[in-house]
Parts: sequence; structure tokens; C-alpha cells
Amino acid sequence: MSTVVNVKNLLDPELRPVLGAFELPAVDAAGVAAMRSASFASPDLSDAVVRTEHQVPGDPPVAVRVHRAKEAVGLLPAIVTIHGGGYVIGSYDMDSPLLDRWCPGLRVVGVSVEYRLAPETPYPGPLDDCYAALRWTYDNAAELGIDKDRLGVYGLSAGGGLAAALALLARDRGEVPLAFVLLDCPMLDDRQQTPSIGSEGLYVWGQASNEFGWRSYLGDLYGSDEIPPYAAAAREAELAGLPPTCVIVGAIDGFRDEDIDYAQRLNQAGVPCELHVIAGLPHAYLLVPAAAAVQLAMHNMDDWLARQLARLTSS
Amino acid sequence: MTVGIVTGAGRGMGAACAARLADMVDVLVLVDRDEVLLATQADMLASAGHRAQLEPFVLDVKDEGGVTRLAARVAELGPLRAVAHAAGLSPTMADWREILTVNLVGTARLVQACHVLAVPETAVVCFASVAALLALDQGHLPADVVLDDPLADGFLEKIREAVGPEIEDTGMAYTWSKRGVHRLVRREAVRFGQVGARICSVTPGMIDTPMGRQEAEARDTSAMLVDMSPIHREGLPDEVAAGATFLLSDEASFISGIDLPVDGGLVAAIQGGGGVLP
Repeated sequence: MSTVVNVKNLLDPELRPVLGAFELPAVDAAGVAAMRSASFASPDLSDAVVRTEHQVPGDPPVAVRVHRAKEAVGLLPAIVTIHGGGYVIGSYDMDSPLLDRWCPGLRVVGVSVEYRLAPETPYPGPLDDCYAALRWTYDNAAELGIDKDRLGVYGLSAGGGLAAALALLARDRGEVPLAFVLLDCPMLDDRQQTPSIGSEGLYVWGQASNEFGWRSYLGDLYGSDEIPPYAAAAREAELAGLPPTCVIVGAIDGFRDEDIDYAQRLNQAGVPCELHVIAGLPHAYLLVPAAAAVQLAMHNMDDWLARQLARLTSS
Repeated sequence: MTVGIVTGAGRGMGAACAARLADMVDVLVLVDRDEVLLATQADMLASAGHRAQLEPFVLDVKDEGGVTRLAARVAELGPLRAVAHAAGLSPTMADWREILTVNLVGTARLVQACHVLAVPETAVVCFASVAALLALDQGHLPADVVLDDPLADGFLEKIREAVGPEIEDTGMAYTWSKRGVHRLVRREAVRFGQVGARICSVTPGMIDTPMGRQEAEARDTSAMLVDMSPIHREGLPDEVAAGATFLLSDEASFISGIDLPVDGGLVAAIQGGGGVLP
């Protein structure tokens, strides 16, 4: 076993004023209650994007928000987005600023999903909600002005875990063909055994929060050997047949090793996978969007998406 | 399998457009707010034996949810080939608010609903009016800035503030609403062009329709305008439908963002022929 690294001093200097100034409390039951009462709505969203609310029928129905550039006409590619928050907090409001950038910039439609949260709703409820939203998007593509052959998913952190699981589910059920998967610092592995998650001084999301998140999401399954791969995508042995994927993660994110391993195994399974590991970035680096290293991460994501869309348009 | 939409299909110019588009597309959705008129018109068209399967769709274009349902239905049916948007209110039919809401806000909503449906073969024609060319023949800042955003919150109050209280006259409201349609079509042509789709307007002159007769009874100017037309008569609904159908046809495949007056030369006579504004 390698020595335990303390990442405290490895943080990119540009992120230090924001993330180094205070220590975020570990997420636990009390923290969840406090954080849920906070609003995730961004105060200044773009006038160039039209956002419409929809209810995906089901028991219970799932709220989704469809984002589309006001000027955009015709059938466009679409991205279903799944927000982060350790499976226990967050809202689809968190995706609106991102889709303000992607919808006009990449000429795509965004569909953000208000999935139910753990621990009230453990696996498979949140994943079922995401699948219902994906299926609804596919089934209503013509009405939403979406080209169903150019449909992908994006997820951040726990949303990245859900997005990876959603890709497995979509592959295995064979109902919705996914064209691409973008995973931003995804939370994939409930086993928590990697050197990176064992690091000391992790920013934003440390061991205690991670354990709480997985415990909440897996419920009675937690700690057992009965974890289905749809609950923790890192446990899937057979990755062949998944769509082209991009994984982005900071080098001092606790998820670094599970994310690198997943990307590695995708390529070994013959799935085209691009991997970006950016030194000095911790989990949830988008909290400091102005930092050059964060700009690089965003550029890499946008650029990869643009290349996927170009590939799909020309094929 | 191509789909067409005609609004105001129950009578007048909308009905005339429906008769022509029924030979251009495979499914024609006939839209009118009057269920009885619509059913009668659909029966007449069906018995005449056209190419298109007919689908009556009762809708008031000021009903936002209804426009959304219409778009959803069209998305189910197939690619949108042609839209003739003839539904509208003339000055004696409603108050100023409803006239602007139906003629301009409703048009903007319908056109917006077509954004997601647009394919390269899509063509849209909106009905404007000669009133907008005759009475408002210059630039009108800052009212035009307001007029160009009919889906903004509080649009009616904003346009009243920009134009002044005279917009409460239903004739003025009508004229401004149709000016808004002319301007909307030019803006939308840029958007529709993204996928190679087209949008134009037609400007009917003095036309012999039920709506036209109702207006003629209310205003002396109608007879005068017929008199001033170089072709000294009222036009027929089908003559306007012919212009609209041309703009929707493949013959007009490189025409977008224009207005086509079908007015017997009325605008030319008044603006260029030494006539006087009414």
C-alpha cells in the first residue's frame, strides 16, 4: 500500500482563496437537512435560453426542465443532465448555468432531471427517475425538437455515478440508444478503497461525506457484496458496448482513482474513452469557475462534446 | 408523410387555403376556434376528394396550452411541410387587448411552436393586412422595439405605453398587430433559415370575406379603398390563397422573409400613384 498523501498543499493556488479559506463541513444527516433548505437556483440566467418545466408521467412523476436556445430552430442533439450532491442533496437548478453555456454554444437541447434523493429514496429510486427522464426525452423527441439519434447524458459527481449507471441500464435494456456519456468527477465506487479516497485533507468531499452518501444511497445494501452494478457502476465487469465516454477529474479529488480506473477499463473494453486528469483540482472545482485550471477542464468538456456532435452529424 | 396546418380554416381565406393545401400535403390539420364551422368545412373538403387526410383541431390561437398541444400532435403525425396561419381578429370582432393577443401574441406563439418542428422542407405563411402598410408606412421607434418582443411579460401594457392610448382604438390595435406580424416574419426568417426552412407573410387587400363584409359595414373607408384599387373590385379569398400557396410551394424555394401583398395594386396606388392616405 502506498503512503497516504495529504493533498492540502497540492490545491491549485487560484482555488485557494475560495476553497482554502474555510473547511466545508462533512455531509451528514444534520448537514443534509441544512443544505436542502438552501436554494440552488442561480440568480442570473441567460435570456437567450428558454426553460420549460415538464412532468414525466410515472409513480411518482419526475420533474424535468427542458432548456433550449431561443434562436434555435429544428431538431437538435440533446443532453440529459444529472446534478451532483452525493446522492443526498442538490437540485436540477444546479444545471441551469451549465446549460446556459451549452444550449446556445453547442446548439443542443438540455434536459435536467429533478431525481429523488437518498436517504429517503435509496437505490434504485433515483436511477429509476433518471431512466424515466431519459426514456421520456427519447419518446417525445420530435415534440421537443430533439434528434433522437444524437442523445447523450452528462453527470457531475453523484450525477456522474447515476449517468454511468444510466448508460449501463440503457445498454442492457436496449430501449434508448445513447450516443455519448460525459462524466465530470463521477462518484462510481461504493467500496472506498482507493489511495485517492484515502488521501488526507480532501477538499469539499472527504471520506466521511463519501461514506454517508453511499450509505444513504445503498440503504440496506451498504457494505454487502450484493451491490448491483447499476447502483455503483465501478462494480460492472463488462463495459463493452457502452457509448463513447469522456471522464474528467481533478488530481486531488478523492474520486480520482476510481474515475481513472473506470476510463481505463472502458478503453480496455473497446469503448472510445477520453480521460482528463487535471493537477491541482479538487472535487467540485466548478465552485471556482474563473481559475485557469478550471477553465481548462470546462474547455475540455465543451471541446469533447463538440467533437461528439460533429461525429454524429457527419455519420 | 407530410403535414400541413391551416389556422382560421373554418371560413374565408383560411378555408380557401385549406382547399389548396389539401392537395399539397398528406395530412392537413384544420384549426379553428369555431367547432361547428370547422366540422362543416372539414366535411366539405372531405367530400371534394383531396389528397390529404383531414384532421380538425379546435383551438383558439390565444390559448397557449392549445398551441403546445397542436405542436405535439403535429410532431406525432410527421414532418411539418406547410403552415398557413390565417386566423385573426378584425377591428369589430374584439377589444384592443384581444386583437393584439390573438393577431400578434398568438402568431408569435404559433411560430415559436414551429421552431422545434422545422425541417428543411418547412414553409410558413402568416397573414398580415394592408392596413399596416397604409397607416404605418414609416419607422416607429421606440414602439417597434416593444412590438418586436410580443412574448415579453406585460406586452400589452408596454405597447400601450409606447404607442399611446390611441392603441385602445380597435382599428389601431389591429393595424399595430399586423405591423407586428410583418416584422416578426422578417426576424423569424433568420431563425428558420438555420435549417433551410422558410417563412413569409401575405398582405391581403380588400377581400370579399365574411370578416371583410363585417368591417365594411362598420367603416366607410372600405368602399373607398376598393374604389382606389387599380383593379376596381374586391379580391376573392382564393386569390389570396393562391398567393399564400405559392409562397408555401417548392416554386418559392428561395423566397423567405418577404411580404407578398395580394391587394389588387392598392398599396401601389396609394403610396406610389399619388393617392392620399385614408
